Amino acid sequence: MNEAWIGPVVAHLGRGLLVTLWISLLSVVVATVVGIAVGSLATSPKPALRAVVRGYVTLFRGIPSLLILLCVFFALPQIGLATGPLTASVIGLGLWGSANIAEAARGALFSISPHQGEAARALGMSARATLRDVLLPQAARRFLPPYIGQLTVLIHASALTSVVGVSDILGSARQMIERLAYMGPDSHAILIYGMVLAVFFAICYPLTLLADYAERRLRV
Amino acid sequence: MGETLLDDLPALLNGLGNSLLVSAIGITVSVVLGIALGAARNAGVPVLSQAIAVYVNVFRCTPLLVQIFMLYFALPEIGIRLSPFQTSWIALALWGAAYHTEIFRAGFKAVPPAEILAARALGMPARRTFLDVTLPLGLRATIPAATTMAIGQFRSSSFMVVVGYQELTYVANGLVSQTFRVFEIFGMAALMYFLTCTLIGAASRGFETWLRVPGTRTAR
Repeated sequence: MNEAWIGPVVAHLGRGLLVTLWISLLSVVVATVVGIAVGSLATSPKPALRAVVRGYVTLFRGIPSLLILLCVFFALPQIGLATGPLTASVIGLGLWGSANIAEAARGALFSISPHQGEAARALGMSARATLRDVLLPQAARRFLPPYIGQLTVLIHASALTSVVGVSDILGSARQMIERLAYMGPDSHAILIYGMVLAVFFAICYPLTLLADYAERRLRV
Repeated sequence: MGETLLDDLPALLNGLGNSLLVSAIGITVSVVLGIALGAARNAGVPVLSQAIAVYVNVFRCTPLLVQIFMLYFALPEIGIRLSPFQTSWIALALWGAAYHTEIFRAGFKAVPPAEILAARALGMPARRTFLDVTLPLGLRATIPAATTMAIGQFRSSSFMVVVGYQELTYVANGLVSQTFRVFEIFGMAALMYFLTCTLIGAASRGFETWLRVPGTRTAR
């Protein structure tokens, strides 16, 4: 049996994996920064601002990630921003992920008893200092387990970028299978997609264990 | 493909109908599977319990999109040919069942042990105890989490665009590539997803209130 096909396939999947990791990293950064900022605004005393936060979170969580991705991909060129599929993917996944992370942050902040904040304010701490020194350190413990869970969700979602033409690990697998099918009788699709599944599992399973551990360990 | 959004509405609604169809089948199958597997996990049936844990971890730690590729593009290699429709509901069912198993397992575990002990002390066999005590109490407690997952499954039906199933995202994507009216068409599709998710959520909350046993709390 000829095994010569394996070398190039693994090399190509490796390049795809790097793209997957890069997209995951960038969209995690965008989603974390925007998500924590938006989630913190939910504690604002201004009802209008809270309503905007609520709307942002509800809206983005009620729409499929893939639709947001396609929308950003097709919309950016129309408003004059000619970016590649990779940038569009990062913006789309980042926006979608930020809503999930904002919800986790909001939930964590609201799980802290209001007396904590009131006591800090009564002691003369500014609203900003109350948030920074009293609410956030406590909320962080409750935020971390769902946040780690969201990381796996975003890493999974990075596979969607293959739909808009990014050569991530799934896109690379598809290209190799098409090539093998063109060249010979056997495309080895089961084995190649099996490798992709194994790679995602190897990344995400430890993360879910970490999330479980964090949940037990950081219980307030 | 028409000049205005009104002309595209029938096609989009038809897509929404197809999305709802595969989601309904996929969600029903996954909930039934989830209850059965969750019960087996909760009962700690040897071997079976470990096998279910492996299934749950494999499907939860790999992206749904790669699972879809495996079902649709790789299985024909071993002679299993699924239509886009079959792929869509089977993928949603297998992926969702992994999450539902964990949800129902947690729900069954959360039933107060005193209730089960009392039933057993009254002479009820283990099977009756499960069917008449653990199941009704456990299922009520899982309604919010199971609904969140079901809504997630409905949103993920958009992934079936990759196998060419005529669901809402596929239809919207097709219309956009023909007309380039990105914002109108994707906006309308997003609104349809959003409203459907909101309706499912509201219906579930109504159902939960209607079923509530006085004096019990619902666990989230």
